[in-house]
Amino acid sequence: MDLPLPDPEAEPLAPFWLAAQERRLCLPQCRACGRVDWYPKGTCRGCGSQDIAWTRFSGAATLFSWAEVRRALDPRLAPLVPYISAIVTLAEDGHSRIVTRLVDVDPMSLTAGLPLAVRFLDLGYPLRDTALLAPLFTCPDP
Amino acid sequence: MRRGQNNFINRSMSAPRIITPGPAELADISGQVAIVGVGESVMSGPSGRDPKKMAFLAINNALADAGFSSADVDGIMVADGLPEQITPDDFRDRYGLEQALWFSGEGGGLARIATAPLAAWQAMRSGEASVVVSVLGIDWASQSRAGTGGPAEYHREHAIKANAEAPFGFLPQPVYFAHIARRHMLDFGTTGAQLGALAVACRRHATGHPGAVLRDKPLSLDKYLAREPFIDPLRTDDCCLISDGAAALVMVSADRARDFPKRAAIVEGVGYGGAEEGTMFAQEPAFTSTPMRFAAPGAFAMAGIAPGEVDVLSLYDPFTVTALMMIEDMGFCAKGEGGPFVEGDRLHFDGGGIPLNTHGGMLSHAYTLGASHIVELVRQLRGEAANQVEGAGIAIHGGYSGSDAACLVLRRGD
Repeated sequence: MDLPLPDPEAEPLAPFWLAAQERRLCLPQCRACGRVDWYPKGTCRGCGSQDIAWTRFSGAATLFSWAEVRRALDPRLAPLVPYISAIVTLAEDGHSRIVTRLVDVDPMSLTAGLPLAVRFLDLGYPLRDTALLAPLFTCPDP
Repeated sequence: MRRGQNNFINRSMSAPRIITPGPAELADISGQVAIVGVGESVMSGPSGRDPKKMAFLAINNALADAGFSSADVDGIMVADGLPEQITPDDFRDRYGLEQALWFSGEGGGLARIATAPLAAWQAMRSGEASVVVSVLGIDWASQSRAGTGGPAEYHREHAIKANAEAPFGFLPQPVYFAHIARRHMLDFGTTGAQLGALAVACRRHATGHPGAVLRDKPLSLDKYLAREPFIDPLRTDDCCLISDGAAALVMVSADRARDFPKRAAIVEGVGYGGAEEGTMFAQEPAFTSTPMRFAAPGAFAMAGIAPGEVDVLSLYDPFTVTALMMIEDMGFCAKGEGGPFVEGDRLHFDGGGIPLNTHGGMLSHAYTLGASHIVELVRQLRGEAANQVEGAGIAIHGGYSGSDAACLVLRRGD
């Protein structure tokens, strides 16, 4: 069964996936207060401004929550098992929550607030090749 | 009345349900509506049974329970948006009747079963209906086995989820709630054993209930803990059943409450609230809360009661952590103190605390989306429950759908 692939050209998330193919983490951000508009609403959750633009982020993040998936209930995800599903908070916006996967980390070492860094790897890393780059996260290089 | 034509179609049947974040202002219906009949089909795993046939079995049982015939019914409520729910034409066809039927999608199960009496009252008040049946029939066990439909379908097909969550493995609901449970553990020190206390309480109740799917599968806390988490920190026993089954209830104006063979349950309060981010759990600012924090205060205020006066509690329980959060959000304890609050046998029907899901809940009875929870509360208030709470006079239900929550307060009738 194939992994559930995104449609990199489907709005409103196309810029996210197209930037990822160029190894850039891009998200819509409020130009008035800096809050990330994720998932895109077009109206800032922080200040109500509609002045929102796709912006490049550093990829520095901290761990908000995670789950270690040892059995996939969706058969399309079975090729990834076991994997660590995660929600991370970007350094630029303490309210932000980005759904991702942690790679090359020891599940026993995970703690709330753990510093993380983005890595642009194949969406199916390390087990499947999908020919699509995705922003996955791991511990930053020392 | 011509076939194929309904007197009144609630607007929600044709327009998508709009959920506003925060608490809703609801009309005061304290003491206005009575639940006078309840009924269920057999509950099971994959059975190949037709959801509408199961729904009519539940309706037959609920009508018999109330002493009504199908010809007495003039209002039907289902859960809008769920596939394969009965229609007024189905009802007329099934019973060979021609009567006009008020029809609403604001009942059935999920969050809205808790506010169904409000919609029914509005129909009673305007003369559109006087005997209202709410029903939910579901065959998600059969569908899940066939690899179609089921509870994850909405999440699989959601455009944003499909492009921002599913590709990373954030799917289906047990993965969402594993993240929520993890964060509850990180923020408040909640333990796996405390989640286990909820699973064990519901299972104990199921083993005492002849209609529960898991009636023959006892679960001790040791056994719960011995099973490794499959979506860590969740174990399979933290996740609800997927079932085939149906449940129904009959509502009338409370001034008729004494005219029935069995004691009525009187609706004393309803409350409703919406989440900030709908079903986008990852984005919800109050990550370890449910919209029950908006729904419960209104219901308690309308009923004029405090959490300490509640004798029996039922909660929509797709996961142990969901019930844990709603216990906090209803005010039985402070946010974060749910873990210690549920330890030991405090949730058991005879534990001296606050009995939870005394039929077994969706965790251990059946996944009828909360419809069976109401059936159980009515039986508790009548004194005819399988796991009877002594002297049960006030019962509360917490309904939930992720994007919204609703609360219902019931009182034992005279």
